[in-house]
Amino acid sequence: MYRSVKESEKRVRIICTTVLFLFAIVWLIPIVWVILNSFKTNTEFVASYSNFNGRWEYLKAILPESINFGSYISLFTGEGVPTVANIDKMIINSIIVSVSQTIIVLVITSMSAFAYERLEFPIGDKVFWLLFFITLIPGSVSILPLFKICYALGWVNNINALIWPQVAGVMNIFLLRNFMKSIPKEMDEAARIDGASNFAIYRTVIVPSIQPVLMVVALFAFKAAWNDYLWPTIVMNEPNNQTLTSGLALLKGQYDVAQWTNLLASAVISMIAPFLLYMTCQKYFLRGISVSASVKG
Amino acid sequence: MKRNTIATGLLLAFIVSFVLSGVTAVSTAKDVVVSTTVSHLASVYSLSSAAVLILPFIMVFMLMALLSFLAKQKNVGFMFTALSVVCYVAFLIAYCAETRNTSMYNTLNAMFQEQGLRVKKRDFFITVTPQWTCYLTVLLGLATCAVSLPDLRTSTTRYSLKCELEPYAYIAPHVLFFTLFTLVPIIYGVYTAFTKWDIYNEPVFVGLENFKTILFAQGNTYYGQLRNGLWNTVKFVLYNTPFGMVLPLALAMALRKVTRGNKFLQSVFYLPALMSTTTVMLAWTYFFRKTYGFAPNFFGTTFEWFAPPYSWLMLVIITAWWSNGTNMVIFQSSLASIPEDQYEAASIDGANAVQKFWYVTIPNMSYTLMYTFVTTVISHFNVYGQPNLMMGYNYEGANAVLMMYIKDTAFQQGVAGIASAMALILAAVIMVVAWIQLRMMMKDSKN
Repeated sequence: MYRSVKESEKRVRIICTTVLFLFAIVWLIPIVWVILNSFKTNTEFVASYSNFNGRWEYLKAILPESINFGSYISLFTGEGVPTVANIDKMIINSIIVSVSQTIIVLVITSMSAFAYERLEFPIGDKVFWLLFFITLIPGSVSILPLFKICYALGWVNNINALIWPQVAGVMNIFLLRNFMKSIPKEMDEAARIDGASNFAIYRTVIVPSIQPVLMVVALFAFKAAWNDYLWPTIVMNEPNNQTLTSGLALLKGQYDVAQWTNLLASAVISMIAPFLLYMTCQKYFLRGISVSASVKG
Repeated sequence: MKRNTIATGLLLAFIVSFVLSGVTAVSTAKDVVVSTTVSHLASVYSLSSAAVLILPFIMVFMLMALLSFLAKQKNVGFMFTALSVVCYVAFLIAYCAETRNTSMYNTLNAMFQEQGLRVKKRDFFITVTPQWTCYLTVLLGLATCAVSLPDLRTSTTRYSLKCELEPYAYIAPHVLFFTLFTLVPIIYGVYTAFTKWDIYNEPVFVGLENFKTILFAQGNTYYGQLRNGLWNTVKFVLYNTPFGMVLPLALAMALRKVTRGNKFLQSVFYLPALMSTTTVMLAWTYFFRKTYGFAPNFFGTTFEWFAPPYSWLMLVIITAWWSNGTNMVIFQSSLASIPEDQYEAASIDGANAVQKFWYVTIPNMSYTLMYTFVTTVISHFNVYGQPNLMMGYNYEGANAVLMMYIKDTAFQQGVAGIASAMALILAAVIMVVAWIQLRMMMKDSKN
């Protein structure tokens, strides 16, 4: 009997693997199509879809005849288009916003989580849950006043408006706190007996041991900053102040007339950064998520 | 009397005095002097300048000080009182230095116009002076500090003071940003739903006027927009939530059986979640474009994929593809935490795969499922990017969701009061739905 169970399990494994691999191919088709077509020239792109000689021809036409970086280069030089939106400025904006926001989020939320979780703090829990319940109120209410605040601060069309308003998420503190619960308190106490101050404990004991969840928070923060669409379109009026995400819509207006491959190339460019970050912290990813109690209950 | 009680009394006086005080703004042109008094509370309502943004912090600090004194924590109360006094002085200095505050400018300008004078903007000078109550407020604040001042001569008090105050220093940066960019906007957003507002100037209170317009004024543009937008948002949630739950769960469960290439497959299915709305929409709209798109030519379809009713199908496919990863990783980690022996026990009892799923997997994941269900529904209610980028208001707004109307009503048409009312209705709908979900699931898990 034992053997048959093992064999049926093996069969299930093979079926699952095959089905998932096939599904993964379908899953990736749009991305692969965009990447491959971004290497075509515009005339080649149009030609590959104009004469329809059966499905096989069509599939073959997905592959570019040769790798051509022309559409990427002309995105930056602005060749042949009335350049209103500069992609290089947008890339720089996106990088500044996402990197600075990620760093600020990591510092302030890990410090808060440390205080709520590890310091003698009589009203700490009350404060935390108060903040938590306030964030459950949907963001649609706050987005117009947030614009007014940025206007009062003189931040309309200023990159500060993209960095600061988004840093105070409570969910990140929640994740960090739950991860900290899994680190024995004895470690703090041992350090304290050795004469370490609270800040030294935070820096030398807590931060190194919560590294996995810090990576997860970093990925989420970076992703949120990089991919935010609504807020930059509200607070930035100038095309060159947009981030890559919000600016792609402008580029679409600009290139939609005839330069399709440029658009596809810009889509590929905007995928790169979050993907690289995911690759670097993939090792910690599942572990970081699974230890947080938002998941375990 | 105990010093704590005196300090509490003084603090209350401080708060009352703060609420009652204000500044006088004076402007002179052609021998005509106009002046207006702006109370601090009124300036919070207008949110008109950087200086005004200090006021919410003063209020939070006062509240914290009061709570601390009531909880007999004199030292913490001292710190918050001192902070509110410092912030108040900073506010007065910054506010009086401001020569062109929008709300003051508008009020004074209107007063000049009443007298038949037109003053050019460059000739407009405003002098702002604090009323005597402002100085009284500062004095009361300082008195509160003096009464509650901790005894710093002994080292034990100093040490306990440090221990008591240290946590606040750690949470301070986060709480400051939270107050300014989350708490104040929420309160202000609720308030502006009851006002006539053009987003740049001071909102004027009009009571339930906005809600009457958007809820009952049949034939009004905004009435139609709210109905259409809300209905489309609800449709979006109804169509997308099942796929947003079932697909990630199925993939997570299948991935659990896979040993070879597990990491690779996980990354592939997570990949779209890393991309932005604009990238996703760009890729898909080009992939399914009627001219030069891959799919319509390959499948030989002649209709427009991005027109209703197919546009809903596209929205469901794209959203399921894009948002799959977020829930999938949560399900994966939850599945991994189910103890293996429960499955073994179930197999010994002769349970088949379906029974194992219903009686072992689902109960173990109940908390995760509840959490993801609620967050998925909330995030779908806040949808903006996909329908906006896919077809905007085309086809008589067949796919236009409420967030699109809120944004355009506020920023294109400058009717932010109406937009705030719409936003408040959307928020109310979301909260009611989330509450119902939680209630139902709590009941289920109790049975």
